Amino acid sequence: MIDKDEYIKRTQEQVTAHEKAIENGLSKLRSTQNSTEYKAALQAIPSVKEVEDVRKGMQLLTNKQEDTEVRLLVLRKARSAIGRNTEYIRDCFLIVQDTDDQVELRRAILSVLGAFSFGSREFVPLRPEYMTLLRSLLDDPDALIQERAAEELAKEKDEYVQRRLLDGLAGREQPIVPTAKAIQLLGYDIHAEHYPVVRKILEDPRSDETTKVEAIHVLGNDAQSRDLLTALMTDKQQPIEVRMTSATAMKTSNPDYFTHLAKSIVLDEQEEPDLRAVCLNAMMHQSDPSALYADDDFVQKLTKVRSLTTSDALKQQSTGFLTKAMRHKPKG
Amino acid sequence: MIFRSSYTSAEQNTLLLTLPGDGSPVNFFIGGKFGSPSSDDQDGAISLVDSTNTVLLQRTVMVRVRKNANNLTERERDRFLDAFSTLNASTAVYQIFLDSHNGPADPEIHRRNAFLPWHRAFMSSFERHLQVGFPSVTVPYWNFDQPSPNIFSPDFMGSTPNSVGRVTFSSTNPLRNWAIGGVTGVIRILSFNSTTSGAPVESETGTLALGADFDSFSFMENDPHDFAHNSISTGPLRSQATATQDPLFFLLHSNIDRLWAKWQWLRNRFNASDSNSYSPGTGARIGDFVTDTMWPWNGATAPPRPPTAPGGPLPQLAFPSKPPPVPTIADVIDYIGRTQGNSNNFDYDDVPFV
Repeated sequence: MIDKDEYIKRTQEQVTAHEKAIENGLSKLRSTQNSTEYKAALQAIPSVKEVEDVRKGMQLLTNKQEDTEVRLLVLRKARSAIGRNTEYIRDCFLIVQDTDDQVELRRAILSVLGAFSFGSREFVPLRPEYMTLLRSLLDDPDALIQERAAEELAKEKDEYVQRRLLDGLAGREQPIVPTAKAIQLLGYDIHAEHYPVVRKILEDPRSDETTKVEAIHVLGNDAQSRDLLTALMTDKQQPIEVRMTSATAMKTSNPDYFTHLAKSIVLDEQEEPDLRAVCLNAMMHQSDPSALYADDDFVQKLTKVRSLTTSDALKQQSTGFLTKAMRHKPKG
Repeated sequence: MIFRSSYTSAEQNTLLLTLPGDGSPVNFFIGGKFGSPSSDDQDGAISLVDSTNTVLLQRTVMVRVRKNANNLTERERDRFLDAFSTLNASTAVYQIFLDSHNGPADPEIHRRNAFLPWHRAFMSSFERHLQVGFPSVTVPYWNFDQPSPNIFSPDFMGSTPNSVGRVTFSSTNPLRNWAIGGVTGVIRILSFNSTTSGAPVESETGTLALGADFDSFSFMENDPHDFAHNSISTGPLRSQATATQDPLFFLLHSNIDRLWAKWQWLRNRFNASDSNSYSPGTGARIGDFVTDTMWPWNGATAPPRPPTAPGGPLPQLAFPSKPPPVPTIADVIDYIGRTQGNSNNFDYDDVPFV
């Protein structure tokens, strides 16, 4: 039994100690004489929020001659305050844009800008500038910055990045991100005109497993991919992850047809136990699985599967299914 | 369980009641004991015993609270995942949670003092939708301060992603069926090592130390909230308009709400008419004031509200309770029911009633 009085006392003491740590840290930070002392003081303080301290920090953050570690520390400790100042946010835009600056810092600032775009009131009027910045970063020399910019734009359903991604996949221009990533990013706003290109990549025997899996994830809603997904799901030569992902995609788009295929896979003793478990799992998480639980023939056969299988996953999933089937049984 | 003879009297493990003998009732109050929540449905019981120690009646109960997701039992975790995946499979219902937190909704629900009350109601709505088919389920929280290897595992929210950020789930995890708009799976790369450290955000103590009044505390929307979303280096959770596409969203927001609840407890900030407990803030507009009803549950779609109001009124429990179908900000401030009749009927495992 936790003593509530002791609990509140302990929590209050922790808060007081934290406030003291900030006070002491600020006093040390303000009295530092050189870069080494400043760095040590920054490391010791939880955060920097006071106007003058943040201004001093920004002078260091924007100084390309300063130690990158110190600049990163300023960003980490003063990020909340930076996000509440339009001028400082613009300074961050300039650093990210500057391809001569330290790539580690540019990446870190780009990441922090993502947080500002979420919750900073001061960021709102700068949004158009941010979108322009992101578009310019699609051609950045750093691949990670390119990828992060493409992702932020893709989540905004930005038509320009969708066109660049699609052109890269179709071979019309140099891809800005790897094929698997491009497919995944199109998935944030998948359109009918994207499907043929993605389908072609999935059918291409040269596509690697990661790319195939990404393609399957976004093709669930494409009616024309049904036969292809069926073939992948039932082809025992395909990697297991490709088959399992196809099963889930099929369940999402064609639940009735999926159930028909999945039942035979679940009951097939020669099949991969993990695929059988995934099919059963998917069958149980349809919008209305009650008809499945009422299928006495399947329930009976699954009872046998449960007793014969040596796979923990299949046993566990079968037990889950049978328990629910029991609950769905009409009373009396 | 604990008992009280009046709503505000001291709690007791047993309560001696003297009945008048003429059939008229005597009021008393029952609550969960802090530090001893249920782990399963109906795993608690209340016994009615007469003066000769004969048990006259026994009723099973559940003390249902939101818990640290990293410490759930396997059964608690699996029930939650089953409920969550079932909700996700009802695409029209899950669409409510996508459309209530998308781009057009953004100005209504972020960067304003109504942020915390709105997300509290949003979490209640989500939890009540889960409880329709799974009444013993609550929304667990992701404690940002602690390593969380059990949350970021193949059996829960998914483990180490592949080279493009595709999270892996075990074959028995219901979240393997996760789908948004026909696109399946979850994309998420953490920017920190969840096995050895917490998320790189303002600590719980730092959050509680933000200030004694609501205006000061409301800066928590920036840190830890924004930076918790930002602690994911790749994936929909990083961005406002896509955040609810990742199931982790609800564990993250359960923790944001817990931090507010803990601050309220520490500072005694439950009185909705006290500006220290809630204030609309500078530049307040409709939707920020304590008596304002909240979108989308109020159905309001005239500007400045978003153009659609997904989902209709807030789902209700089987008995009269707060928040009502059309909740105001005031309805969610005293969420714990310090004043009788105000309880929102949820709580956290580390926030006491008093």
